[in-house]
Amino acid sequence: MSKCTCQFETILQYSSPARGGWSIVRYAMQVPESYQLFVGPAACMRHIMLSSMELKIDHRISWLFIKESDIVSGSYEQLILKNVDELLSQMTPRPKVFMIFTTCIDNLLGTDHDVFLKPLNEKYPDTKTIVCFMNPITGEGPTPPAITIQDSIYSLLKKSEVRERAVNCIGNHLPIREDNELICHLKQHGFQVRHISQYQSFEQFQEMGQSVLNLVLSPLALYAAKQMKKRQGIDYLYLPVSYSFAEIEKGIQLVCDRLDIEPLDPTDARRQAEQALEETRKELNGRPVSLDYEATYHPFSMAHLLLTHGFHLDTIFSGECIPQEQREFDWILERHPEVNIVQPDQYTMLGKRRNEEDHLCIGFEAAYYIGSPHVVPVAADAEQYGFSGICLLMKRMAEENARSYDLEQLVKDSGLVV
Amino acid sequence: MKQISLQLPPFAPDYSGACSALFELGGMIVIHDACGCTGNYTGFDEPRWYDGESQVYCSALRQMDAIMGDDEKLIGRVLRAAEDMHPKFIALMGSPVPTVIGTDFAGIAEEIQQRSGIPAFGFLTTGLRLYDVGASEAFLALVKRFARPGASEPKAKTVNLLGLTPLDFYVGGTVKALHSALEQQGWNILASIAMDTDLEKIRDSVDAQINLVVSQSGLAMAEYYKDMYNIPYVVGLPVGSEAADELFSMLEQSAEDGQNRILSSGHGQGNYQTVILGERVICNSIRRCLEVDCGLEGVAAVGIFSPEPRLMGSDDLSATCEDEIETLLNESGCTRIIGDPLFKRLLANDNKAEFFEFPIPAVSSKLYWNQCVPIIGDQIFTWLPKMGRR
Repeated sequence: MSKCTCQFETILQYSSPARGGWSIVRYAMQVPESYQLFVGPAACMRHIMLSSMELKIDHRISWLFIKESDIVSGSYEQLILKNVDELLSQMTPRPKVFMIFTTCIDNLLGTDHDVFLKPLNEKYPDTKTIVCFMNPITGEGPTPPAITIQDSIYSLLKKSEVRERAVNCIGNHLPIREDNELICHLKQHGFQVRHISQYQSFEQFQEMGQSVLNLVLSPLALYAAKQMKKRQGIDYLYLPVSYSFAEIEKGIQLVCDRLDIEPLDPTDARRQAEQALEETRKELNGRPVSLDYEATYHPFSMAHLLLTHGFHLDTIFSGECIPQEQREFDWILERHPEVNIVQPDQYTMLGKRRNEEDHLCIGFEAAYYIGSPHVVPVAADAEQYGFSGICLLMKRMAEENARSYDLEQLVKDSGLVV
Repeated sequence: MKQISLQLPPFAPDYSGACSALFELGGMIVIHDACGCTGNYTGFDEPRWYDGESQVYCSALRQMDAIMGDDEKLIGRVLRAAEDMHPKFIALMGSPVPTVIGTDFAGIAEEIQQRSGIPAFGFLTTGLRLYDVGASEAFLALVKRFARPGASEPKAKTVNLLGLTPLDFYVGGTVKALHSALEQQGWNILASIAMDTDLEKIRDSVDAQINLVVSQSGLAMAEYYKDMYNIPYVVGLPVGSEAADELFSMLEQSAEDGQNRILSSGHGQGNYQTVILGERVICNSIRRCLEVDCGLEGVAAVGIFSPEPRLMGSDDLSATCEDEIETLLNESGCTRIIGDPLFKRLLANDNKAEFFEFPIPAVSSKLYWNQCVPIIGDQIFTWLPKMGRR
């Protein structure tokens, strides 16, 4: 009988001390020469400012608090206009992009953003002032903040008539490594592969608007890609991270077809991944492995990979099963009922820490609940993509197998926030 | 007051203070928010969270629930969790969105209490006020609900401590030192509200001979004890040596004559040489130590949170936003500053004042909360060695 106890339902939520991911700030900071101002009740910005200090990016961010009287009087827009105007007038050099982040209450106040955007963009034409959203109240809707921020970022690309032999990777926080089989293949065929993190200036960043194709590597950027297709005329392929050999190969084929380049023979890459899996499995020597959905957006795909390659998978911590993973989820329920599937954010998880120090845990939250110091400290799949991504995951697992951490300190240093 | 901040984080909000006040008491605390407010508290304002097992939950409020005013969803979720988790009480905390839509927390709490049989509170925390206000309201509600009603015969040499949260006192050292200092003076601590205590002790706290208010958030509670149980209070902390003795004397006097007393400055203000920034009662107590034990004059205690006139002298200062703090640090002419390490960011390049780091969790959160600096008794002189102790 399956040990799956989760219903993936929304009840009172428990937020474990190890829960967290990239903040909206961190995503948006990838825009070169940008500056962020958060506007809202002071409370909303506390974690933003403190986590920015931890990450040492707080010199590019400030906050403007609103009082109850500002909400009641409706002077909110004028307050923003006055303060941003004053701030921009004093900044040297001025940022190329000034992002005004509003919070949950903005959704209920009916703010007219044009009241401040229009005059600010007229007065400071060299600084593009835009509104972004940090409004988790939209969490279960179609456009939560982690999705809208991707759109806000790429809306900054100007439409270009020029089309270069280049593709963009969007949605992945960290760039895929150079040794990835698809990246290598694209480069061999004369394509540049672009990622926002490679740009130091806003002007250089604009070259992403001249690429022929967006590779959407995470569900977070799918909405942005659709908007880019409308706005900048850049087509996209939705190829999120997968730990399935078949899906990886299918994705490679789709890219080659779309770009009209010769197919990539994945045999070598696949063999290397198989080899890495086998070596790491031996290295772990039956050690239990647990993983969580902050480490990967595709926990069931990763779990499927590990189970089909002989790893001793103990627990999957996941708050949801996205449609893309339903097949793997069902397979695990049917074929591996011994695997625990646990929803980590339910109130019932309070006090459910185990003390199983022998586990190797992929992700901070898994390590917290399992109570193990052996952690693969990754978030949101990190640079893992394709067959080389599997090799990278295996390398990390093998390395961390022999290492242990003070988890509390590790979480603190990670700069991850709820 | 300028509403923009470039260097400092926002200080801990009211819901963090309220949650912190109730954290150790076995209740279920539900923050009615989408997740960010709960993350603020658990991730940045609660040093006990990592190893603690207190029931602090997020209601998972969503836009449609807010627009439709669907309180039943919140009530249903709380009742279901309460049935499983058996809390001693239930506390609902507001956040900015419920503030805007005018959620009736008192009414919701009443309904939850009726349907579950568990004592329930609704707090109108907004995220627009500071932690000391939230903690004060939570403490007061706690005592009103759980302190044993009716007159009581005070037990000799018994004291309650009012206003303890880690947002002012860190975890561990300071509270233990405070207990120890009072016990050495022969005082028996009945309730240490609310660190290292429980609801039973709060119930029996009405037997105390006197209350010691250790932070501003304990003052409203102290007034209530005075009004309802005729227990007098003293405001202050035993910081230093002679200054601590002064406080202990005040405790004895108040226990004797039933009058309230506040540890305050014995000197006129102005011409500030030394500026202490932080929580009002803590700053006042450190100031008294510097005056009495070190012989310093011109010491300003600057409250940086919610101004409380009852605890301020006529020329006491407060600086409650980044702009005011920056102005005070750079234009007061002070030569010594005691304050949170983050305040160093506000010092002008030509400001040569000597800076003594005194981390305040309600300001700098986990950036420094492991660097607790001791202040009780002589311990303060381990980090203020240059003040010329007599």
